[in-house]
Amino acid sequence: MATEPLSEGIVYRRGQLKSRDFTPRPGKDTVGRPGQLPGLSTFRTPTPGKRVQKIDLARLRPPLRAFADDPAKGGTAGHVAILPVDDSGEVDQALLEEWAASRGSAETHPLTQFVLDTVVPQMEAGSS
Amino acid sequence: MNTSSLSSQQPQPIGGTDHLEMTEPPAAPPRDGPVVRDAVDWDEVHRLIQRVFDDLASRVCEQSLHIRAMNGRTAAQAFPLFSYRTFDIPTDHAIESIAAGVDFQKGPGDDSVTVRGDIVREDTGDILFETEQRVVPLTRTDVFAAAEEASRALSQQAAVILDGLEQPCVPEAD
Repeated sequence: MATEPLSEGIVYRRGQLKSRDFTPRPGKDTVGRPGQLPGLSTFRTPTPGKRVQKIDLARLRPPLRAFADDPAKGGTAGHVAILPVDDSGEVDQALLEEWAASRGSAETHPLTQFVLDTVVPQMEAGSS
Repeated sequence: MNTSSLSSQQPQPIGGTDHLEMTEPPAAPPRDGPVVRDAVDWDEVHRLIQRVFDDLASRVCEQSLHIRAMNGRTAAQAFPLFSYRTFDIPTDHAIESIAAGVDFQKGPGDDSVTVRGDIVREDTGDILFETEQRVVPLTRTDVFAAAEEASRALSQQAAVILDGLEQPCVPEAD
Protein backbone atom coordinates (compact mmCIF):
# COMPACT_ATOMS: atom_id res chain seq x y z
CA MET A 1 0.00 0.00 0.00
CA ALA A 2 1.63 3.24 -1.14
CA THR A 3 -0.19 5.58 1.21
CA GLU A 4 0.97 5.97 4.81
CA PRO A 5 -1.72 5.65 7.48
CA LEU A 6 -2.65 8.67 9.57
CA SER A 7 -1.71 8.20 13.22
CA GLU A 8 -3.37 11.33 14.56
CA GLY A 9 -5.84 14.06 13.76
CA ILE A 10 -9.55 14.70 14.01
CA VAL A 11 -12.05 13.54 11.41
CA TYR A 12 -15.84 13.64 11.30
CA ARG A 13 -18.30 10.86 10.66
CA ARG A 14 -21.79 11.75 9.51
CA GLY A 15 -24.73 10.41 11.54
CA GLN A 16 -25.65 9.65 15.12
CA LEU A 17 -24.01 7.19 17.48
CA LYS A 18 -25.77 4.05 16.27
CA SER A 19 -23.75 1.00 15.30
CA ARG A 20 -25.08 1.40 11.78
CA ASP A 21 -23.56 4.88 11.58
CA PHE A 22 -20.12 3.47 12.34
CA THR A 23 -20.19 0.48 10.02
CA PRO A 24 -19.26 0.58 6.32
CA ARG A 25 -21.90 -0.13 3.69
CA PRO A 26 -21.59 -3.49 1.97
CA GLY A 27 -21.01 -3.21 -1.75
CA LYS A 28 -20.27 0.52 -1.56
CA ASP A 29 -17.67 1.13 1.10
CA THR A 30 -15.98 -2.20 0.45
CA VAL A 31 -14.82 -1.10 -2.98
CA GLY A 32 -12.02 1.40 -3.50
CA ARG A 33 -11.59 3.74 -6.45
CA PRO A 34 -8.68 5.68 -7.88
CA GLY A 35 -7.11 7.76 -5.13
CA GLN A 36 -9.41 6.34 -2.46
CA LEU A 37 -9.20 3.17 -0.42
CA PRO A 38 -12.34 1.33 0.62
CA GLY A 39 -13.56 1.70 4.18
CA LEU A 40 -15.66 3.80 6.53
CA SER A 41 -15.87 7.35 5.16
CA THR A 42 -14.89 10.29 7.33
CA PHE A 43 -14.01 13.89 6.56
CA ARG A 44 -11.50 16.43 7.81
CA THR A 45 -14.20 19.05 8.26
CA PRO A 46 -17.78 18.76 9.54
CA THR A 47 -20.66 19.38 7.16
CA PRO A 48 -22.97 22.21 8.26
CA GLY A 49 -26.54 21.13 8.98
CA LYS A 50 -25.56 17.49 9.38
CA ARG A 51 -25.22 15.50 12.55
CA VAL A 52 -21.57 14.52 12.77
CA GLN A 53 -19.42 12.75 15.33
CA LYS A 54 -15.86 13.72 16.04
CA ILE A 55 -13.30 10.92 15.80
CA ASP A 56 -9.79 11.06 17.22
CA LEU A 57 -7.57 9.03 14.91
CA ALA A 58 -4.97 8.62 17.64
CA ARG A 59 -7.48 6.41 19.46
CA LEU A 60 -7.84 3.94 16.58
CA ARG A 61 -6.82 0.44 17.52
CA PRO A 62 -5.35 -2.24 15.25
CA PRO A 63 -6.27 -3.63 12.87
CA LEU A 64 -7.96 -0.36 11.96
CA ARG A 65 -6.02 2.35 10.19
CA ALA A 66 -6.96 5.64 8.58
CA PHE A 67 -5.87 6.69 5.10
CA ALA A 68 -6.38 10.05 3.44
CA ASP A 69 -7.46 10.13 -0.19
CA ASP A 70 -4.96 11.15 -2.82
CA PRO A 71 -6.71 13.89 -4.83
CA ALA A 72 -3.95 13.77 -7.46
CA LYS A 73 -5.06 10.24 -8.29
CA GLY A 74 -8.78 10.95 -8.27
CA GLY A 75 -9.55 10.86 -4.57
CA THR A 76 -11.62 13.42 -2.69
CA ALA A 77 -9.74 16.15 -0.84
CA GLY A 78 -10.45 15.92 2.88
CA HIS A 79 -11.82 12.39 2.72
CA VAL A 80 -10.29 9.81 5.07
CA ALA A 81 -11.15 6.10 4.95
CA ILE A 82 -10.98 3.92 8.06
CA LEU A 83 -10.35 0.26 7.28
CA PRO A 84 -8.78 -2.90 8.64
CA VAL A 85 -5.32 -3.85 7.47
CA ASP A 86 -3.43 -7.12 7.69
CA ASP A 87 -0.01 -7.72 9.21
CA SER A 88 1.70 -6.38 6.09
CA GLY A 89 -0.35 -3.19 6.14
CA GLU A 90 -2.50 -4.11 3.17
CA VAL A 91 -6.27 -3.80 3.10
CA ASP A 92 -7.77 -6.81 4.85
CA GLN A 93 -10.54 -7.18 2.32
CA ALA A 94 -12.12 -10.24 3.92
CA LEU A 95 -12.37 -8.55 7.29
CA LEU A 96 -13.66 -5.34 5.71
CA GLU A 97 -16.41 -7.26 3.97
CA GLU A 98 -17.26 -9.16 7.14
CA TRP A 99 -17.45 -5.85 8.98
CA ALA A 100 -19.69 -4.29 6.32
CA ALA A 101 -21.94 -7.34 6.27
CA SER A 102 -22.72 -6.74 9.93
CA ARG A 103 -24.34 -3.36 9.17
CA GLY A 104 -27.90 -3.37 10.39
CA SER A 105 -27.54 -6.55 12.39
CA ALA A 106 -28.55 -6.87 16.02
CA GLU A 107 -24.97 -7.26 17.25
CA THR A 108 -22.34 -4.53 17.18
CA HIS A 109 -19.30 -5.75 15.24
CA PRO A 110 -16.02 -5.44 17.20
CA LEU A 111 -14.59 -3.07 14.58
CA THR A 112 -17.67 -0.87 14.89
CA GLN A 113 -17.10 -0.77 18.63
CA PHE A 114 -13.46 0.13 18.02
CA VAL A 115 -14.54 3.15 16.00
CA LEU A 116 -17.24 4.12 18.49
CA ASP A 117 -14.52 4.12 21.13
CA THR A 118 -12.61 6.80 19.19
CA VAL A 119 -15.48 9.29 19.46
CA VAL A 120 -14.48 12.46 21.25
CA PRO A 121 -17.02 13.74 23.80
CA GLN A 122 -18.51 17.05 22.74
CA MET A 123 -17.50 18.74 25.94
CA GLU A 124 -14.03 17.28 26.27
CA ALA A 125 -11.35 19.83 27.01
CA GLY A 126 -9.93 21.16 23.77
CA SER A 127 -12.92 19.89 21.85
CA SER A 128 -14.59 22.33 19.50
CA MET B 1 -7.80 -11.56 11.12
CA ASN B 2 -10.03 -13.53 13.33
CA THR B 3 -12.76 -11.40 14.93
CA SER B 4 -12.98 -13.66 17.94
CA SER B 5 -9.65 -12.20 19.01
CA LEU B 6 -11.09 -8.73 18.53
CA SER B 7 -13.96 -9.54 20.82
CA SER B 8 -11.63 -10.46 23.62
CA GLN B 9 -9.95 -7.03 23.47
CA GLN B 10 -12.97 -4.93 24.20
CA PRO B 11 -16.09 -4.68 26.29
CA GLN B 12 -18.98 -6.93 25.47
CA PRO B 13 -20.71 -5.49 22.42
CA ILE B 14 -24.15 -4.14 22.93
CA GLY B 15 -26.82 -5.18 20.51
CA GLY B 16 -28.00 -2.59 18.01
CA THR B 17 -31.55 -3.66 18.57
CA ASP B 18 -33.19 -5.33 21.44
CA HIS B 19 -36.55 -6.14 22.84
CA LEU B 20 -37.48 -4.57 26.09
CA GLU B 21 -39.84 -5.53 28.78
CA MET B 22 -41.95 -2.91 30.41
CA THR B 23 -40.94 -2.27 33.95
CA GLU B 24 -42.08 -0.04 36.71
CA PRO B 25 -40.67 3.50 36.55
CA PRO B 26 -37.79 4.17 38.90
CA ALA B 27 -38.69 5.21 42.39
CA ALA B 28 -38.84 8.95 42.90
CA PRO B 29 -35.86 10.38 44.75
CA PRO B 30 -36.40 11.91 48.18
CA ARG B 31 -37.46 15.54 47.98
CA ASP B 32 -35.44 16.67 50.94
CA GLY B 33 -32.01 15.96 52.23
CA PRO B 34 -28.63 15.82 50.53
CA VAL B 35 -28.20 14.94 46.88
CA VAL B 36 -27.58 11.23 46.58
CA ARG B 37 -24.73 10.66 44.14
CA ASP B 38 -25.50 7.02 43.55
CA ALA B 39 -24.35 5.36 40.41
CA VAL B 40 -26.45 5.83 37.32
CA ASP B 41 -27.91 2.60 36.01
CA TRP B 42 -27.77 3.15 32.25
CA ASP B 43 -29.95 0.12 31.60
CA GLU B 44 -32.63 1.83 33.64
CA VAL B 45 -32.14 5.10 31.74
CA HIS B 46 -32.45 3.23 28.46
CA ARG B 47 -35.70 1.63 29.58
CA LEU B 48 -37.08 4.99 30.62
CA ILE B 49 -36.32 6.52 27.22
CA GLN B 50 -37.73 3.55 25.36
CA ARG B 51 -40.97 3.75 27.31
CA VAL B 52 -41.36 7.32 26.10
CA PHE B 53 -40.40 6.28 22.58
CA ASP B 54 -43.16 3.67 22.71
CA ASP B 55 -45.61 6.56 22.72
CA LEU B 56 -43.80 8.18 19.81
CA ALA B 57 -43.82 4.93 17.87
CA SER B 58 -47.52 4.48 18.50
CA ARG B 59 -48.30 7.91 17.12
CA VAL B 60 -46.08 7.41 14.07
CA CYS B 61 -47.09 3.87 13.25
CA GLU B 62 -50.81 4.44 13.67
CA GLN B 63 -50.57 6.71 10.62
CA SER B 64 -49.23 3.97 8.42
CA LEU B 65 -49.09 0.23 8.82
CA HIS B 66 -46.02 0.22 6.57
CA ILE B 67 -43.78 2.06 9.01
CA ARG B 68 -41.48 -0.09 11.11
CA ALA B 69 -40.04 1.09 14.41
CA MET B 70 -37.03 -0.58 16.01
CA ASN B 71 -35.21 0.30 19.19
CA GLY B 72 -31.56 0.04 20.10
CA ARG B 73 -28.67 1.38 22.10
CA THR B 74 -24.94 1.80 21.95
CA ALA B 75 -22.25 2.79 24.41
CA ALA B 76 -18.55 3.54 24.16
CA GLN B 77 -15.74 5.19 26.06
CA ALA B 78 -17.00 8.71 25.39
CA PHE B 79 -20.67 8.06 25.98
CA PRO B 80 -22.33 5.71 28.44
CA LEU B 81 -25.55 5.56 26.43
CA PHE B 82 -27.15 6.42 23.14
CA SER B 83 -30.73 5.16 23.20
CA TYR B 84 -32.70 5.38 19.99
CA ARG B 85 -35.71 4.38 17.94
CA THR B 86 -35.46 4.06 14.16
CA PHE B 87 -38.35 4.44 11.74
CA ASP B 88 -38.34 3.11 8.23
CA ILE B 89 -40.55 1.73 5.51
CA PRO B 90 -39.10 -1.70 4.72
CA THR B 91 -41.15 -2.02 1.57
CA ASP B 92 -39.80 1.21 0.08
CA HIS B 93 -36.01 1.53 -0.09
CA ALA B 94 -36.32 4.91 -1.77
CA ILE B 95 -37.33 6.38 1.57
CA GLU B 96 -34.47 7.18 3.89
CA SER B 97 -34.94 5.91 7.42
CA ILE B 98 -35.06 8.29 10.36
CA ALA B 99 -33.86 7.85 13.91
CA ALA B 100 -34.79 9.61 17.12
CA GLY B 101 -32.28 9.27 19.90
CA VAL B 102 -30.93 10.65 23.14
CA ASP B 103 -27.21 10.60 23.80
CA PHE B 104 -25.30 11.08 27.02
CA GLN B 105 -21.71 12.09 26.52
CA LYS B 106 -19.13 12.32 29.25
CA GLY B 107 -18.15 15.71 30.56
CA PRO B 108 -17.34 18.37 31.09
CA GLY B 109 -15.35 16.95 33.96
CA ASP B 110 -15.90 13.66 35.71
CA ASP B 111 -19.11 14.66 37.49
CA SER B 112 -21.37 15.62 34.62
CA VAL B 113 -22.79 14.44 31.32
CA THR B 114 -23.96 16.30 28.26
CA VAL B 115 -27.44 15.27 27.13
CA ARG B 116 -28.91 15.84 23.70
CA GLY B 117 -31.86 14.48 21.77
CA ASP B 118 -32.22 14.59 18.04
CA ILE B 119 -34.13 13.28 15.06
CA VAL B 120 -31.86 12.64 12.11
CA ARG B 121 -32.04 11.12 8.65
CA GLU B 122 -29.94 7.99 8.91
CA ASP B 123 -27.95 8.13 5.70
CA THR B 124 -27.46 11.83 5.09
CA GLY B 125 -27.22 12.93 8.72
CA ASP B 126 -29.72 15.75 8.10
CA ILE B 127 -30.93 17.11 11.43
CA LEU B 128 -34.72 17.29 11.44
CA PHE B 129 -35.10 18.24 15.08
CA GLU B 130 -32.85 18.58 18.08
CA THR B 131 -33.25 19.47 21.71
CA GLU B 132 -31.14 22.01 23.45
CA GLN B 133 -27.93 20.42 24.68
CA ARG B 134 -27.85 20.20 28.47
CA VAL B 135 -25.06 19.58 30.92
CA VAL B 136 -26.31 17.84 34.05
CA PRO B 137 -24.64 16.44 37.16
CA LEU B 138 -23.89 12.75 36.94
CA THR B 139 -26.49 11.73 39.49
CA ARG B 140 -29.35 9.34 39.06
CA THR B 141 -31.91 12.06 39.73
CA ASP B 142 -30.47 14.55 37.26
CA VAL B 143 -29.79 12.02 34.54
CA PHE B 144 -33.30 10.60 34.78
CA ALA B 145 -34.83 14.06 34.64
CA ALA B 146 -32.75 14.99 31.60
CA ALA B 147 -33.50 11.69 29.89
CA GLU B 148 -37.21 12.11 30.40
CA GLU B 149 -37.18 15.72 29.26
CA ALA B 150 -35.22 15.00 26.08
CA SER B 151 -37.16 11.89 25.14
CA ARG B 152 -40.51 13.60 25.76
CA ALA B 153 -39.46 16.51 23.57
CA LEU B 154 -38.67 14.04 20.79
CA SER B 155 -41.89 12.13 21.35
CA GLN B 156 -43.85 15.28 20.47
CA GLN B 157 -42.30 15.28 16.99
CA ALA B 158 -44.27 12.48 15.33
CA ALA B 159 -45.18 14.87 12.51
CA VAL B 160 -41.51 15.52 11.79
CA ILE B 161 -40.89 11.80 11.39
CA LEU B 162 -44.00 11.26 9.28
CA ASP B 163 -43.07 14.17 7.00
CA GLY B 164 -39.55 12.86 6.69
CA LEU B 165 -40.73 9.41 5.73
CA GLU B 166 -42.70 10.85 2.83
CA GLN B 167 -39.59 12.14 1.11
CA PRO B 168 -37.39 9.96 -1.08
CA CYS B 169 -33.66 9.59 -0.45
CA VAL B 170 -31.17 11.91 -2.08
CA PRO B 171 -28.17 9.68 -2.82
CA GLU B 172 -24.85 10.94 -1.50
CA ALA B 173 -21.47 10.38 -3.03
CA ASP B 174 -19.96 8.52 -0.11
